[in-house]
Amino acid sequence: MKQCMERLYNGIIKENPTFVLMLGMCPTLAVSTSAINGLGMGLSTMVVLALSNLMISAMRKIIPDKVRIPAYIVIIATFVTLVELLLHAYVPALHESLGIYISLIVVNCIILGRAESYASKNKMMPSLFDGIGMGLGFTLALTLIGLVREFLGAGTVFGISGPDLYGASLPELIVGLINQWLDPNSTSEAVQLWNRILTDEISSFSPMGIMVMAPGAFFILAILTAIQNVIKEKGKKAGKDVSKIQSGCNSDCINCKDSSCAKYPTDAEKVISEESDNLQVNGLIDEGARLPVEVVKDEDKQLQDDEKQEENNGLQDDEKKKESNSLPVDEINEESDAELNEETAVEEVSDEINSKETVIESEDNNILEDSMEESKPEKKHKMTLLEATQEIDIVELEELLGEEEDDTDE
Amino acid sequence: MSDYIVQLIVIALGSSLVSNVVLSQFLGLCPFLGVSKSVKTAAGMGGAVIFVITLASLVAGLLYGFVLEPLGITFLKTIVFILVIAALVQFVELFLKKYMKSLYKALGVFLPLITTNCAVLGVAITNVNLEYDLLTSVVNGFATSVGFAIAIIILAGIREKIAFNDIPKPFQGMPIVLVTAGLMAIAFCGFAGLI
Repeated sequence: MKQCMERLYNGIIKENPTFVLMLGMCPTLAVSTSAINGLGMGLSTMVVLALSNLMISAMRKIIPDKVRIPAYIVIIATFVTLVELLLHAYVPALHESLGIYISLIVVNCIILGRAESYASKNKMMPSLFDGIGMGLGFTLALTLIGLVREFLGAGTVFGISGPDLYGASLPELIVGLINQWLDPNSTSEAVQLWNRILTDEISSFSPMGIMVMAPGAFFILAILTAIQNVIKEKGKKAGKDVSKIQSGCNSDCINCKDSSCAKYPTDAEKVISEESDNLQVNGLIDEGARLPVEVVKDEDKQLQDDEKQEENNGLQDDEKKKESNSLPVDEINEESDAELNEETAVEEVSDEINSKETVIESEDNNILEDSMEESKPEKKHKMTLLEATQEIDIVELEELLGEEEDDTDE
Repeated sequence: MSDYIVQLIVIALGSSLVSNVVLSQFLGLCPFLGVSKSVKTAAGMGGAVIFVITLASLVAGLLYGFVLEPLGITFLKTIVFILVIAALVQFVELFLKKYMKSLYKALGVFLPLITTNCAVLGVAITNVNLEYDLLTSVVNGFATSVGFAIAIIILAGIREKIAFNDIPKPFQGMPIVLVTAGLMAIAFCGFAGLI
């Protein structure tokens, strides 16, 4: 039971699929035009996610490893069809407004990702709760984004426009609330002025139609990722494990395992990530965020080289080469991942006082705080000074790697 | 007959520019943001998407018209389409690898990325929902994917230029790309009066 609650917490806050992992962006952007749409989409996804997790977990020993992906897709598609038919029958209005995006739940990265990374390895109950937790996290995120977009774009909340609320428009209501909070009976000039400014300013409030249109979705997401960047930067400075943030699902849903695609790249992703690695490494050497012209040229050279290799060695050899090329990087990744907890432990020992002093500014910081707490037991590892210094070297390496991974995640 | 052709042209313009698959329907967002670092790779991805979506809408249209509808099992369309598309992409990859080496080199690495791309399934389902006939389905699929290629190549071009700009720290990386995409979406809104 404890594990089930942990799964719920993990899905809703610690690894929130939208706010932390940045998975399933297509439906997030397309459907969040209003809060009620977001809620409907989120709940539909949750039902599919929970049931498919349960089913896949129940059949995890029967399904042969080689055909597991098609098997998962069939299971997921079955539940999607069920949900779609149910919505069509009982909530036709929602079915109408969500359109093809209900069918497209099948290709939502979150579902296949959870099936692959959690349900296929764990027992039924935790898998069910993992699905429910992730689904609730997704629902929460979609509803919040939908709420913001709907309020800015149409001036309503859950479809309720101003006049429905106590005969006042929403902005008027807000002004009224602020006034009451200031002083309901005051006739002082400050309150009068405040009142007048607010009324004048907000009574001219007209909805920004663009927020419910396509561009608004991109802008909202841009702001969201910018906030994530800031939090990630802060977390890095405090020595916390921020690898999960914005790990995304880089252009390939089916190979998205535990939402860290960089660990299990396909051939294509290897090519792409190698490219961007080259870019990033060169950029790092120049110690600048901006990339010099040569770098782009280098990238082209790299591409040409790759092509030459292919011509010379034939495809299979080339693939082998690529694998052997990328092997060291992978090894380092694994190593550093294995020692990640210990590293954070080391950093914590040194920064313990600092980290105690850090003020929890927002909910998101809370998440990081919690993830840190989990690794605290690791602190008990005994370490000699030599080991510790080695660890610090790896910390630096890890940071470099981390930044490279960030780049590929775009 | 001429009415039919006019209708086809309207559908083609509509799905490539007016309701662009990425910029107004948000389908295929992952590759749009993930594989748009350089114009060269973006063009490769665009080519692969055109290839796969056109083929997939042909196959899905044939299946729906000649198998699902006569048997009265159209409610299975989601399951059938996703499996057929996944199998199709694998098959195309093998076929290209064996018989058309040069095309495989140009598009091959991108094919696995498209297997579960929502744009492919989205087009197939849209075709069915709007009750397009086979030719219209293929034209719609082709136009949609051309719209994808246009969008991703433009974005890649802009990103290559943006790499040299001085961007505020929090907006570096993904956020500035999204802002760019948003501005592109505004520009594409301008096509709304076209048809």
